[in-house]
Amino acid sequence: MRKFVATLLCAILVVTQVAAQNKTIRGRVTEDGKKPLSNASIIVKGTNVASKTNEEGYYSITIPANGKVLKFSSLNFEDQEVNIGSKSEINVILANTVSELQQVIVTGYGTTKKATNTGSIATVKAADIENLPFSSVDKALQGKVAGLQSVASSGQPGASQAILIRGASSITASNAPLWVVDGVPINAGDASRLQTTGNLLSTLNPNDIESISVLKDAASQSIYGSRAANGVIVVTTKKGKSGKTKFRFDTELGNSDVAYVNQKYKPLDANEYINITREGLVNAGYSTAQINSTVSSLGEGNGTNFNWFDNIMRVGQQKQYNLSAEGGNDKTTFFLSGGHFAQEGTSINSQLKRTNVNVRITNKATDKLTVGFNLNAGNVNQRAPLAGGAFGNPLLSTYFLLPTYSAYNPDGTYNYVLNGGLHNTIALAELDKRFLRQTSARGSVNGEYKILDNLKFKSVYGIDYNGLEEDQYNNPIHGDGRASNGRAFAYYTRYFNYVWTNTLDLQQNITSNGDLSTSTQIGYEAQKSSGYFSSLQAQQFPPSLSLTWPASGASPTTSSATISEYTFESQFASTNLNYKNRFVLSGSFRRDGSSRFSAKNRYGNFWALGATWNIDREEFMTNNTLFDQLKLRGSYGVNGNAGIGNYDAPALYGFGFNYNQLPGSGPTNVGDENLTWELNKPFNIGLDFSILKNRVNVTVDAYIRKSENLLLSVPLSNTSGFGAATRNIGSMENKGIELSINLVPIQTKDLRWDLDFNFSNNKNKITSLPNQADILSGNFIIREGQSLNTFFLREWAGVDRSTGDPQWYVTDQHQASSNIYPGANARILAGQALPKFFGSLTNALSYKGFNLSAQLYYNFGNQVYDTWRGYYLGSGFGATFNKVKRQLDAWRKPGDITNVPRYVYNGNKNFSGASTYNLNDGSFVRVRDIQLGYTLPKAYAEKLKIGSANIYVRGTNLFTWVKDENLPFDPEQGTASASNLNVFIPKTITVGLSLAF
Amino acid sequence: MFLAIGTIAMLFGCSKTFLDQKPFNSVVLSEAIKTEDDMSTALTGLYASLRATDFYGRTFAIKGDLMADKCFLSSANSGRYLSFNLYNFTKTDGYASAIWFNGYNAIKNANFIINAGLDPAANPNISQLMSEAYAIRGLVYFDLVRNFGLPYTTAPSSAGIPIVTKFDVNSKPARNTVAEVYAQVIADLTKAISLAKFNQGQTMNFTLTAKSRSLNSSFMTKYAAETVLARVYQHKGDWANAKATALDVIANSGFSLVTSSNVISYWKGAAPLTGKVETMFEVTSDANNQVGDGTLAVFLIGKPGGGAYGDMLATKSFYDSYSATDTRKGLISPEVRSGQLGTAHYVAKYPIDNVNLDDVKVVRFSEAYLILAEAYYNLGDITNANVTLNKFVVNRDPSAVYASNGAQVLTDILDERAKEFAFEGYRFWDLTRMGYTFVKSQGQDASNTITTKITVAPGNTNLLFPIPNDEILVNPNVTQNAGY
Repeated sequence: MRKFVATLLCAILVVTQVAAQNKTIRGRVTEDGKKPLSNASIIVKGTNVASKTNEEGYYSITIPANGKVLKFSSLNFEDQEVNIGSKSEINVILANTVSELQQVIVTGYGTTKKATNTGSIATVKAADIENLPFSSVDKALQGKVAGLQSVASSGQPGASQAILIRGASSITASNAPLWVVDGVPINAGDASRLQTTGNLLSTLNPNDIESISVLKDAASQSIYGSRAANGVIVVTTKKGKSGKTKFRFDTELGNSDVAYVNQKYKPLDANEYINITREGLVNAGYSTAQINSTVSSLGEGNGTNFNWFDNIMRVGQQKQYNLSAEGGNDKTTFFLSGGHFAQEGTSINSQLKRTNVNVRITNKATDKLTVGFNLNAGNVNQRAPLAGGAFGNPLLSTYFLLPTYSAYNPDGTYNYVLNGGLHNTIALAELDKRFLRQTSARGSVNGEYKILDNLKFKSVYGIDYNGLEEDQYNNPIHGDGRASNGRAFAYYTRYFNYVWTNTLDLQQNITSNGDLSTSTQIGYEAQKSSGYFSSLQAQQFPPSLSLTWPASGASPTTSSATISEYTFESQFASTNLNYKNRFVLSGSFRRDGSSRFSAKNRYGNFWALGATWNIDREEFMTNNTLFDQLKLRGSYGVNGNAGIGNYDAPALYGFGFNYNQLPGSGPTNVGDENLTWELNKPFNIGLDFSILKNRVNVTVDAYIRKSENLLLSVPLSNTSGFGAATRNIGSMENKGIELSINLVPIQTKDLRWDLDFNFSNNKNKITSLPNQADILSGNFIIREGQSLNTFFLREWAGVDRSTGDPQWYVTDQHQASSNIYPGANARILAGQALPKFFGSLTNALSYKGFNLSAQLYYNFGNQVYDTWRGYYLGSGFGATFNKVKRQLDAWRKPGDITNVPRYVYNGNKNFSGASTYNLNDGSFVRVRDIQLGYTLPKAYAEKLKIGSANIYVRGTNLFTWVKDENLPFDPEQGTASASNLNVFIPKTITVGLSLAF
Repeated sequence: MFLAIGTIAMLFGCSKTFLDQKPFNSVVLSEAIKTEDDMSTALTGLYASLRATDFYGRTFAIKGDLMADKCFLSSANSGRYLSFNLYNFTKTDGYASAIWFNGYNAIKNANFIINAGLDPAANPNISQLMSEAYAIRGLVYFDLVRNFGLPYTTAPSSAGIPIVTKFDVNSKPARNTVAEVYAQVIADLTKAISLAKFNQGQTMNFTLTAKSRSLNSSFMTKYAAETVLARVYQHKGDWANAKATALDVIANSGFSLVTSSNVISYWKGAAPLTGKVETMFEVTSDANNQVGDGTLAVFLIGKPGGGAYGDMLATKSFYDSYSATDTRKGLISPEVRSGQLGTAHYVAKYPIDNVNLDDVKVVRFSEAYLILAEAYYNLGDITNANVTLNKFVVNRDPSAVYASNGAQVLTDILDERAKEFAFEGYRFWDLTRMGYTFVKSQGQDASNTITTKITVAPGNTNLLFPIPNDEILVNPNVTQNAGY
């Protein structure tokens, strides 16, 4: 307001002033002193005299007699005013408001600067996520951010990826972070219902992303109060810059193969299988005649030695093309892009194709009003095989089908008669189908109005649409469709989510000299998400392989549709108080209502306080030459988690329990009127410092976050007829330390070496449970004092050297052992599924046009459970299925020292039963990314009439070192850390080309 | 500025109902059963809950045969029911806990109907609906107590299962004795019989909505409940009541036995029946309402090329025990199977062409005859035991005639029960209520000789399911069965 009055006074003064002579001013406008800023507008303040910069950023303007001040502006850059005085040349550097992430950090409903930031925020730049052979951006985040654990469980292109930020905060409710794309909170995760895996983010092209901010603590998150309990990932897509229209083309081609293969876990060949089966039959006491007839029936001497592993694994093709155009003038900028991405999995029947388009237009309608529109739309077509124990799972057949059975008959047709009634998955890859077609559109229209120079109003109206079509066809001849004479499924799932956010931002100096200032934001947000689910299935198909849709089936067996909705309504305010950029105090408050809770308990109040002290700006530091930056941060707050079912609170009688063609009902939900928000209380303290002219940059954070009033699925006495009810009970705690170091050991004119290291340690502890009672969940125990996802298994005690029998410890006291599989009381706490620490080390070297970078990702301290071990390494269990090479190490004679018991046809005791034998140390180090690139020198590029050209070779997951030589499969097996014969995670080699013109 | 804020708040504040989102496939629990139509819908839901795989859908039938002396798991199996074949349950066994859960889930559904507060005396429809709910509750309690408690004939005062007749989400009940549970079962079934107003084949008409409800074999009508009651008396060793109840069923139910020439087609038929032939109550499935691959047929039928597992096989000696003139012999299908030594004697009792639609017989009219014969024997009436047995067996093997004396009569009856109720889950209960020691087959060799087997004697831990460990963790009042 003060400024406004001053300007007004100025204008009056100008008018009354005696006219001075006209003069011409020249100069150049740049981004950084070098890079020209074209199309920037220059106006003589208080007049309508204006000019623009040319391609090279130069301008000239004739100043009228009353001209005093020049105002330089360009979209996405900060305005700048310069007094003309007696100058004849004025060169200006405008500060980018968008992409210079070192300075500006995109946070919740706005941006902050590094100096004033009080929270723990990590940012990832476009260059770190572009052109990677990953089907979704969440996969690209692995190792990029301290405290963010990104873990795959399947190598299927388009598979879901689990992300935990600073550990898991909840036992039953969601542990997934909130994703916000261009200001719109979106639905993320796996929405597929028929496929084994899916990922809503796979429709978003990582190449369209400008930056990602990961909000990790109370001060940064709490403005998202209601849904910030698991962290917030803020994605900003690319914006255009004014100037000549620039085009960019990126392409990448490559191959992928299995990243980790343990030779001990390759399946046996025909001779090996027959020999060990003979050995097992002898050990089981069969007569010679019985042994001969048995091995004969299993294919001994039939001349077939089919390698299922080699025939099911394959080298997958990988390619992507991205084209973008950006440009505009001082009023309007645009960014347009389109992309195509195709990836094949490492085994048959696994692939994904994505096509997507993206547009963003920003228009400065008036000096005060900016309007914008963006839309990011994509479609993926994913084909994924069955997983786990399904007979149609190609990975299962790799280990279970006998090498004495071929996939083909001698005449080249498919062989349908295989051991154990298993399916010929090579045939099914051709005869059956399983597809997911997922279309997403995320976008918003937004407007920003400067009510006053220091007060602006912003409104964002955003949508997030996801439609999933899932099809499955099982042919009537062989496999899962045979029993029903063919069957086909068609599932349709749609999520539509709209959000309207309105904010008002005020910047105000409190003291007139600006030493103490405040910025305040208040806002209102409403969100509604509705899911629509339609499912149908038909069976009894004509004996044809080409009629694959339910329309051809005679008997519809599933025909169902329903919807499910939730709403959120929120008011929020945040403010900070800034004293000379030395001390910054920030506070936020948010009140959220959720439709998931009953009327009397649906509102939660969330808040946060943060403070930062920029020590380097203190007067006593003015003579300091060591620190370029020294900053201490702290924050504490309360945020919430409502990540439960949409209708968990009311007591319900549900429908759909139909019988004899009649509709039926039954009690479905216990309900709890008192159900309310789960609370998450993060405390964070952090230190940032830079020394040696910013060549050493270190960020350290330590945190404790407590989850209370857990929305816990509390087990009930089943005599009530219910298994569990959701209640607010229990608490949990995560403690950890994060360290990020950025070093520039060498920096010369031609050579630069960057070294980035990050380390995250998180310790999870369940601090209270109802009645202190253990809750068992599969192979895990939920117990007070222990980490979430702690394995609880019978303890393996080794092979009896004299008999070759398997042995287990009789009790949980690790004392006496026995060859009798012990009771459930003998189970012990056997390690945790979540790693104790993880992080990455990245080295990047650039010399003239060449650059070489390598990222190592490491993960230590967790166990991995081998779910199907009993079958392929069960010392005879499932005798008619194939085994792995390690089984050949079986005990044979007294004195043999081995960890594989004597092979007995149909099983040696209960060796196949679950025990710590199924666990392996999951520690690993992996070369996540290695890249060698060359950028064409500018002179050559200009000769070729292109802006720039870059070619590179990249390897992803090329080498994997594991600590445990007996780890059967890839160490990455989801946050539950259990293998399930999923498509193997790939290593990929690609070559890429980037052209700008 | 305050004006601006105020404007925002007023302009954009949503309506008060914005946060009221109601589910689309549910109603509020307390409002669910207010009319006879509501009750009929809830009762349909109760029947649907019986269909679960680890309940009447499959596991009850499998347990009764796989844990007895006539069947074993093929060595080429899908990995299901290994603990039944090996007799090595642990307290965390998934089948046991699923049965426990499904049992009390059905009891809860029945309790909501019984306690809905509608008056059976005022309305014959409500009387009939409540009769069925009582009958099912009685049946489920009976099946739970014999799975988790010792036989009444050996230890009536030992721990049975908790009796829950009212829904209480926080209750942690202790186990009632076997005798107390039997008393509850008999009370429920007796109440069901007294409330029943309609018989199989009849139709109920609802006045309010003009809807009707046709009672086919999918529903538990009066004489089905009475036959279950006879079964309970038989398990209890109360032969006088067993005889009286079975006699009443045979004399007054109007049901008839399926005849020998129709046995195969009877088992092939999948549709619910209304003609009062053989099937008194079955848990039915149809194209839209079924348990997918979790059916008896998929488990039992061996279909080369996939689609079914063919896991449980009959022993050759059991197959051979059927005479050539016994039409039931056609319900076992000897075939060659890759990966299985010897001949695979597949169970062919469940329809093969509509595997997902098979119906599980729970009460058949034949049982009344065989209970009656056993009751006569136990009451010392050998003549009538043989007469009853012969009246029955002529409908299976026209050339068979029983004329034994002494203890052989009991053996005849039990053998005939084994043949008649094969693969329907009866044999194990006959062996255990008699307190027999038997040999359980586990695998055969190339010449169909049983090579792996175990001897099962009363007192074997695995004769009882473990009380699910999850229940013990939550409910400290429940005691575990011995040995777990």
